Amino acid sequence: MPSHYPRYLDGPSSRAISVIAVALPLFILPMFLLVVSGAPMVVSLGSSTTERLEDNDGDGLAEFLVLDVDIEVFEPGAYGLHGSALDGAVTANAGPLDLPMGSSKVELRFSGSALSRSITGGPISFDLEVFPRDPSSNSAKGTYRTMEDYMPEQFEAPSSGTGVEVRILGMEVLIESKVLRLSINTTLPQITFTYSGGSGDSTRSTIRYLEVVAYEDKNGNAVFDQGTDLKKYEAPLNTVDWSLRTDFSQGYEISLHGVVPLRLSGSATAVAWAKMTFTYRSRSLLLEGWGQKFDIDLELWQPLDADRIAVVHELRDLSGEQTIEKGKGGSVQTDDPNVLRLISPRGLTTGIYSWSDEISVGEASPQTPSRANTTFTVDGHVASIIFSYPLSGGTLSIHHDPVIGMDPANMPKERNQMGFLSNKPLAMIIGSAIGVLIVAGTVVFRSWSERREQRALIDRERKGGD
Amino acid sequence: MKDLLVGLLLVLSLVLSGIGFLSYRRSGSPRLLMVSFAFLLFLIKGLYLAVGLYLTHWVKVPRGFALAFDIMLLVDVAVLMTLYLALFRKQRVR
Repeated sequence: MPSHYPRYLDGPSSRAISVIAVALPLFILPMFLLVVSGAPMVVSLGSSTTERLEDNDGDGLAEFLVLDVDIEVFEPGAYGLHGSALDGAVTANAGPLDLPMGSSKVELRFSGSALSRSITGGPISFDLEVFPRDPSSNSAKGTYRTMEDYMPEQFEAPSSGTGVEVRILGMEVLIESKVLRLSINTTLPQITFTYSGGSGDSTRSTIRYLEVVAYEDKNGNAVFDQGTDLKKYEAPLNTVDWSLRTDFSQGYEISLHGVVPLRLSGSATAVAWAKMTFTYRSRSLLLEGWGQKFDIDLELWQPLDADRIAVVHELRDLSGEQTIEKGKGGSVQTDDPNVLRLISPRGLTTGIYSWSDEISVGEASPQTPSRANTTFTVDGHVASIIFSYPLSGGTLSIHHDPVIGMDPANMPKERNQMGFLSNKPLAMIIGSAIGVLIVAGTVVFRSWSERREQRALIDRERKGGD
Repeated sequence: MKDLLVGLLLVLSLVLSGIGFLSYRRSGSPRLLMVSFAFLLFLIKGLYLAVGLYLTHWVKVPRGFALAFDIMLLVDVAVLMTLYLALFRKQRVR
């Protein structure tokens, strides 16, 4: 049989050429794309991702749908993983995680509360993205469709045993108890808090941690007096690269941490570093969920040539309706001597930010009791607060634990709680009776008027006859 | 208010449907049949509301919708009343 190939492509050599012709583009194309894109492919999604349900309280309802995502790492480093489904109604994040070269499994935990609200039944398709910490490298995207069908009734909100729900929504982590809703920004040391439920917006407030300052206490009053005390090191906290860690193995533990570069005052050069961590735990949730105690930890990597270190922050009302007052009040009994309260236009205490002067300090870890000193100024909707911690005695590690809360006694009723009109069957029967009366009345009236007309007609006929 | 109006709507639409069908049977006019059917639709609406509101609770009227719901029912009742009174109004013999 004559070959269709030209002579020089016929025979065994033609098969080899064909193989090369197919294989070469397969090899060249990714290389070409790699070169053209200018970014190295350092990670990809593997093919052996698995799914499982997690029912921590053993009640038959899952608190989490967990994906064990298979990640192929070509260059060891820190990677984050983001997953979402149903147009972002269900999201979860993991990392950043230090992953070695090769295949790794990373957990993505999707909250049962979001799943129960959003899915309609059937398999769920998740969009996955694994991204390297290094922005010059490309992230890898893929989808995962669950092997099983899932129904909304299979899930429940994750609970720490106190009725608290924790959700990760894009750039924020939401902790919601019966009374309090905390939103933790995952890229800034900023906490927004309000009443839980649908009526929260009129009580929205935020605490923003702005700056860390190490200073020489010129007047020896143990507080940071701007203008009097000598700033030696400073670090604005909005320039720090903050990372979030979450642990839901026992309740929740959410920590935001970053390495704070301390610059010599007036200089752009960082000469010392400190790790700063904000931690929120389910076991630090206060009774009835009205407040969340959280930890502020500062770990200095080098001793500083300064007397004290200060954390400058502000409490701000975001609703535009509340004012800030200092001092205790409302229904909340707190042992903390320092209390700032947010007051509603009706004069009721809504939000609470309180802290103790008692702190722990130490060289390696904060084990020695010590005291913080605080200054704060209140100006209507904003309060500026400065915590000042001692650095004497080789202190490198400082631990402080303020409280954010909402006064449960003054929680407003939910605005979106739609009331319905009550039904009164008796009124309906009365309405029907009125209808019957109208009909009967018109019938009677009509027959009466007919009879009258007939009588009038008869009378006329009689008169005509006479 | 809505309960009273539902009662009125039921009775008026029932009476008008009845009169309409009786008139159709007497006259055999297809136009009267269509008018009777329109009254029957009002009756179905009234029955649906009565069953949904008082027996099965399918229908729930949000508080924010109360006024609009009352106005809509009032318009329905006014339409039926106008037609009903028009029926009873005697044609003046010139």
